[in-house]
Amino acid sequence: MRRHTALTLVAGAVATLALACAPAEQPEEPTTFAEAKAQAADTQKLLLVDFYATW
Amino acid sequence: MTALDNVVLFKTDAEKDEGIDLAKQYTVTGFPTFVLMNADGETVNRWAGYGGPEAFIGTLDKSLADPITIADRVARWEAGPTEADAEILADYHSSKDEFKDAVSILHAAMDLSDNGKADYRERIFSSTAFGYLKSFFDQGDPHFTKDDVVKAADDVLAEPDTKKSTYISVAYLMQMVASRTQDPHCMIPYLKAAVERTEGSDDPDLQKARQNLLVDYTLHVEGDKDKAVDLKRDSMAEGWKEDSAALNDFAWWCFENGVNYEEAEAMGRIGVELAEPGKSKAMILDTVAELCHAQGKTKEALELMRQAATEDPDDEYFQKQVTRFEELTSSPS
Repeated sequence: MRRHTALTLVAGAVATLALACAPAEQPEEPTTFAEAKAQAADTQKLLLVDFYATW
Repeated sequence: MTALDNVVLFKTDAEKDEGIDLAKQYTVTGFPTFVLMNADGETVNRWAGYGGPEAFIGTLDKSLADPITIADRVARWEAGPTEADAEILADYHSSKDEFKDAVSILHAAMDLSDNGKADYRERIFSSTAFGYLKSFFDQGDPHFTKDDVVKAADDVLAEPDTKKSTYISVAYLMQMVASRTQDPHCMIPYLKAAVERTEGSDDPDLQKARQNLLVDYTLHVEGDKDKAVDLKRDSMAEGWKEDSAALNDFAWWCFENGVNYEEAEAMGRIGVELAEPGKSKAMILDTVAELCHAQGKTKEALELMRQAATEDPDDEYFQKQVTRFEELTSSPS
């Protein structure tokens, strides 16, 4: 079966990007969506959710 | 300072824990999908695919420069369309698999544009192609016909300032269309254009992409099966024989092109051993089953398919395959 790769091909690169572009002094990365929304509200920033899949 | 400094980044595995419900809530259908939202969870922009650091940061920059919600942007677009809103709304719709809406907006944006029509044509083509291909994944009604895809591809190639990288991306998508429709002829003009236009390019990424296209070019344009298989092996990444996904890709390519079954089956079987249990193992079991069937070993194929269905019991496709092979083995030859 062909892997469903139309978009997943590039998924691996995202982790690299996130690491490469992560600011040096950033609050601890949120581990839940609620925490992420709260952090966005506190810092008055927008929230960028990266939906990925590992398969 | 990058655009990422101005956002809170939250990465979530859409197939695990909280990510499953979140992906449903935001109708995420492909990976990666990025959703930019305010602290209330209202979408400001969303897009599918990474596209390289430059494109990614460019999209994020554009979104942050005018961070209104999608609902407000739609209202603004309806009151007075602009190219800037079209850019964001087209990405938004594409990432939700609303390809008809995306293409309609891109056509409107192209009409508004004085220059850059080539870029719009490329995006119209890719949205049309994805919209068409999507129906093969979810068995839904196709958003577009194959003729729509071919016309959009021809429109791209007819542009005088089409970039070399565009020839490559058109050829790649047309390869997928050819594969899904089992019609290799439909990709030939685009393969030829890409291979010819990128000859001698000193861009290593383009050269690598060209090498990959040369495999199908050699098979379908030159008709040289042995050379194509050699090129396919050469195009595989280092260590591919220890990577179940790469072994599956190689074996499936051989199967769908009707070449090199014996080696493909052997490679597929190594992939089965290496694959993680579950979906990954089921996919490569399916590949080996098809290869066995293609070589007349249908009973073996049925056994492999049963293993695949056990590995991934939630995927109806594998169950259908079991039924198909049961019928094939029970019918008189």
